[in-house]
Amino acid sequence: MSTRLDQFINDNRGDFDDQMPTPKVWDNIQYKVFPEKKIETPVVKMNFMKWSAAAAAVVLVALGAWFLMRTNHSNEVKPNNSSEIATVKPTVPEKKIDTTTVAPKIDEKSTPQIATTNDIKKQADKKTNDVVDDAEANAKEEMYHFAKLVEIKHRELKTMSKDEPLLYKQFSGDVNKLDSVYHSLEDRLSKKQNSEEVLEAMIQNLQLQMQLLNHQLQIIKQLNHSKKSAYDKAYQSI
Amino acid sequence: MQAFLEITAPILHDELVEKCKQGDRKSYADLYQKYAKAMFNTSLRIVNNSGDAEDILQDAFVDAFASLNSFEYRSTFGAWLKKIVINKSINHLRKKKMDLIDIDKTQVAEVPNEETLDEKDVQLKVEEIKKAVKLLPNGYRTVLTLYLFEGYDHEEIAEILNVTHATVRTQYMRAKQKLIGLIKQGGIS
Repeated sequence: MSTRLDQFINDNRGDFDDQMPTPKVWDNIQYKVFPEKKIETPVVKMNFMKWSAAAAAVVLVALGAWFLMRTNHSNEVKPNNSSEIATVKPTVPEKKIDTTTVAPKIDEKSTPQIATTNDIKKQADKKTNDVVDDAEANAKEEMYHFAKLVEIKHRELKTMSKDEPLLYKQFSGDVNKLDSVYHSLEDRLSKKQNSEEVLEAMIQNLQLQMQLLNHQLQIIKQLNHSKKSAYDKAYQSI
Repeated sequence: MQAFLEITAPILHDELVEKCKQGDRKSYADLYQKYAKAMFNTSLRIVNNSGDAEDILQDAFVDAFASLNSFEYRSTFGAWLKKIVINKSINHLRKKKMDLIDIDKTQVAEVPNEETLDEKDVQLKVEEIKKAVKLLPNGYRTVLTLYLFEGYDHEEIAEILNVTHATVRTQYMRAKQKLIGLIKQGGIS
């Protein structure tokens, strides 16, 4: 029963399917079938954040080394000041933890650097016995170091909190409270009231700020991590 | 004999479909690449408008992907997808209130014989046939393409269009006659 027309179409069936849909069709399908296509953006952001955090950590370690080199070089540490340096010490391992969690790649590089800073510190401690000088200048230098660290941490927090503006507002509010106390102490120092005590309080304040910022960064990292795993989970379920 | 039929009867599982079911995103893209062109042309022949055919193609794939887990190889994936595309294309014509049955009111249901279809004189060329198919009225075009291009038989077309078998047959005969007339005209001019 097959006629010539039927036969011709049958024989040349492929030639009749010659039109192509535009690429936008697949784009739209993807958009509808994989609504979490945006996943690519957070992944890039994560990398960017990781890198910026890593860069911040490198700067932090370098700055720490530079500061300690400077103190070592100037040889101006009073014996009674060693107690103050001892209170500073715990923040160094803290730095170490930070670098390892933020950027594991940099860890190999940063660890020896920390080791050398510790060595320098030991040398500095040794030399404190035969060095007697102005405590205030030293404390101020120390404070400068901490203030710099706090500033770096603050910046790091800012880049990491882009996705969580509300959280960032809350966090920076907490830090600002401490900072305002710091500034009032600064005023008192300028009036020359109990300068040694005030200086110590200021250092303590900066240390607190550092701890707070470290804690906040940890929270954000955890948050980002759980977000990423949620995305992964959603992606796998499709 | 029956046992043999039972063994050959089930359709082999499509590896690409299985990978999609497991959520492999690349397989979705591959599956689209494999069928998009054929499905687009199928829809285009029915709706006669490439923009509409693209919308239908998109909807059909989105629906197919969404219900992929319920696809159980009662037919091949291609046949299943084609059915979705055809149903969507016909619904599109219905929505536009286009007639799916073209009846020449002056000659009610007069079925011409095969012999009257003077095919032999017509130079059959792909482009000419395509051009002529586009010129057919919606009802004729739908029945003709489903039969000639998509390989559905009259019963299946009757079911899809929700009309009687006899109507499909009449429609097809008229459509084919008209098509040959159009090809002849095209050949002369």
